[in-house]
Amino acid sequence: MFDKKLQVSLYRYNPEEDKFPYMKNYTINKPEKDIMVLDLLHLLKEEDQSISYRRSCREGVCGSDGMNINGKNGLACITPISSVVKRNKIELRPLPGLPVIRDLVVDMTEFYAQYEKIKPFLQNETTAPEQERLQSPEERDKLDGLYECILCACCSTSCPSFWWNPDKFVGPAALLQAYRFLADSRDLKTKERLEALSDPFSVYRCHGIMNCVSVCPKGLNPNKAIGEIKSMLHKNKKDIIVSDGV
Amino acid sequence: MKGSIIWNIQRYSSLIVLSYIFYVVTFVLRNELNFFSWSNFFLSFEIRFITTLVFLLIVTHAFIGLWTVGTDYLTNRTLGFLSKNLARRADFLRYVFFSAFCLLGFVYLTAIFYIIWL
Amino acid sequence: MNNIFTNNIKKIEFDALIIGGGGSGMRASLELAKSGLKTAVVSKVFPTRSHTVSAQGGITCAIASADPNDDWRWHMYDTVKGADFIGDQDAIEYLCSEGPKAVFELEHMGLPFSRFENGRIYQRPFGGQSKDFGKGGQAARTCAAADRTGHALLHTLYQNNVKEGANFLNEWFAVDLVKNSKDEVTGVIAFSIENGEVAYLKAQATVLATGGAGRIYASTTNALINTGDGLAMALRAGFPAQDMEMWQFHPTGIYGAGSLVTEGCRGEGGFLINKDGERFMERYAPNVKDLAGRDVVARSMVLEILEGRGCGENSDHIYLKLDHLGAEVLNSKLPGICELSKTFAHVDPIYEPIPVVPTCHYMMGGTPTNVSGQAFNRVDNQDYLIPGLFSAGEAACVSVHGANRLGGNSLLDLVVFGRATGKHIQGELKSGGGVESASKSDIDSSLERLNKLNESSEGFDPAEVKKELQECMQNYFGVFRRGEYMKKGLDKLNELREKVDNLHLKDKSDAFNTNRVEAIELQNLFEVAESTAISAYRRTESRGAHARDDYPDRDDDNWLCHSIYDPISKEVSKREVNFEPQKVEAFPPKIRTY
Repeated sequence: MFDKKLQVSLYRYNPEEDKFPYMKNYTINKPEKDIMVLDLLHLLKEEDQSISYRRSCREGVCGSDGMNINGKNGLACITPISSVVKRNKIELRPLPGLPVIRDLVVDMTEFYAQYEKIKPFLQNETTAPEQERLQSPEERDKLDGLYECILCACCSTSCPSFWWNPDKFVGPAALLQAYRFLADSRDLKTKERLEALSDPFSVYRCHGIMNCVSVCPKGLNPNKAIGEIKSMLHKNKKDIIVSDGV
Repeated sequence: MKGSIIWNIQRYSSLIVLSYIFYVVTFVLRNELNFFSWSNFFLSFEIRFITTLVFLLIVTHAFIGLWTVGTDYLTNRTLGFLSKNLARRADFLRYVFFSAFCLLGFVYLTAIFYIIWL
Repeated sequence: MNNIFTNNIKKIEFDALIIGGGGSGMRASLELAKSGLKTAVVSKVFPTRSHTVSAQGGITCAIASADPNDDWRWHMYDTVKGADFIGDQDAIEYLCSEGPKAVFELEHMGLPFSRFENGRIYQRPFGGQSKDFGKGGQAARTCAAADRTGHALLHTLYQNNVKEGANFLNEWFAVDLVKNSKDEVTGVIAFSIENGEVAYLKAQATVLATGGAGRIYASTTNALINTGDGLAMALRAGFPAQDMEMWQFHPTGIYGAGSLVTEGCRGEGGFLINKDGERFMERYAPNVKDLAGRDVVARSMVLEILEGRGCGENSDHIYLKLDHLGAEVLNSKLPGICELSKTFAHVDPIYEPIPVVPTCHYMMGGTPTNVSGQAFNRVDNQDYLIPGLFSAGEAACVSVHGANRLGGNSLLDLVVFGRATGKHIQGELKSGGGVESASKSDIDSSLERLNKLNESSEGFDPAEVKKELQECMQNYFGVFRRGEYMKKGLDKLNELREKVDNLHLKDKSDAFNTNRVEAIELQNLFEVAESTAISAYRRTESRGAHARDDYPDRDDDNWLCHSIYDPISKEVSKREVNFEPQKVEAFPPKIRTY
């Protein structure tokens, strides 16, 4: 075979040593069988132990190893190198738009803050029955495609609106969760939830760029959820304005 | 202001402007166009009123768009990607940008008003 | 991070400290956050990255949804039998009878369970489940949110912790317990992974909720973070571990990758076939076939492979057949499995069987505790509670799983005992309980290990030593065990002890130094592995997950008991199993067949 070597270009930054981040090139023997990008990182780390990245479940359900792989965000552990390598090259960078702590590790404080802002928990102050609250399979079906989010931040960090205003625009991941609770037949705070999202930034900074949809490693569609929130906001406009006292 | 109101203004203004353009184009296509027919068209109070309104909407529509651009790109954070000096002046730059646009919009509307009504 | 002395580290005081942000840790912290006590969860990863997230099939509990006549006593019977009769029956009784309350609470918190037409929680059949004390046929008792129950559960718990304003020290790594002169636990030494800051986290109650340590084996369904940190800390502090020889090998880990394929697949009607396409479980467990206990199925699979009926080029795996269920069932009930098997086995289960192999999955043993989560020590055949130390979840051994855990019981264990531990600590601390402070030298001695690592200028490479350790455990302490092989394994472990004590940390930087974390994790793995190896060697019988070629039969005369591993003497002693449930008659041991 011609190409037995694989070129890996890796984003490196150690705040204690480097003034600026830089790309470092590694050449490794091309693995015999197709491996995941995370396995590739393990191989590199065996060579150079100073490489730092997050990882946990290594099967795409914990959301630790979101990173930018050849220009597109994804989870390293479920991205086979065969699907991303171009001309025997692969470039790995941290998720864009968030401060880098070291190498591929980003500071996700702003991302989590937006998640907490949308009150990501069921709100129902009626006295709970002794058993479960009933929910029909049809009502439950509405949560499919929403609750599966793993908070890997691939979507939000691929969203230009989130890059520019991560403090004001809630971002696709948290908006998906906002809708997960709006859509839950057991949640009773629909009006309050909508009110909290009614400003010009929280939802309306979404311009339908759809990067979130194209990168989501779980195949979810935050853009659709945002659309649903927008229609709810429009339908409930009157109630909200009245309750605002405007 | 509520995001939904701004969102609606932007969408509806564009629809109104589009129908206005459609109406004017239909007029141009259906009639023999010369100085008199054109002047006559604009002599009607309704047309002049609607034209003024449409231009007001164009400016509003543009303002919303540019306000979005300003609050996206002319911020401490976004300019910080370029340089720290620029980032420090972000609020001032945005203010200048909005003021310049407001002034331009005002001049534009005054001119329109002058042309159409005087 | 060089030369850390007690004088120059920060001391942060809490009422209660929970090490581990998985299911049990967050269930305990939820209870404590509501109580107003100053509590923090110390987690080496952001809580929703914990391994609970990988649980698939569901949470087994007699909520009487699939069958309105279901009874927690039936669930108790199954669990006692599944445990091969060395589960403590008072604890199993508590688990099964409190279970429904804990599950309904989760539903009220918002967990998106799948539903039946009548709006109640969906339940599916799992292995080892029966009605009417084994006489009424297969039961369906596992409450599920599609095949992502662990994910749904973990996120729901995190969300409710956010709601109650719980404190989190995320990406902080606990290194060692701090003990005072009276052997009471007064907190931990921990450091921030993000910036290397070391702190003494002082607490009146310390809960070890650090999960399992499946990474002692080379092939495991466990996450890379499952390194038994809490259990190892307890062992290093001189506290015992119980039933460490009991490791569950899950029948269906994806061949080559180790990812878990839920037992729910077989619950929904899938079955295992050998290379001849034969449904071989009919031979080993004629009544329930593929839904026998996990230990039984795993052993049967290994026997098939050893007898040359394995699938694939090397005849080294088994096929899990699902295609006959149809695309609709697979997409609605097992969507995550379809995704996983396409990614890791390059197989679409709608058309082809999934290649699977028994894979290390769960640690039945752990720090021994009572039903309130209080850890205890064992001195002269007596239990003594350890003031200040608690444990819950997979890290603990209550023991409800005995020699073999039933599918879906782990999630129930997490929430029931996480909750019980939280409630107990709340009561104890509010009534004035607590521990005395540790002295400077006490704290210094807990810093020793970290300092040694930070000062290392030469020694062994952690990554290499880890591989050796995992290979050793895989080869000598796997599904089938034999005395002479285990002896070899023990010798190998003795060699490795030297290496593990002298690791060389090359990267000594402070910012997100994963090298330091991995070196400490390796030392933790070793403690767990050693306790496993010694306990396995000592238990001279076959029971539940512990199967020995040289002692193929269960030996109730000598071994109807827990094993207690003492980390100081490295000896194993026996502890009697509890046969005194309060609300029902005890289930006496009998021959376990499926």
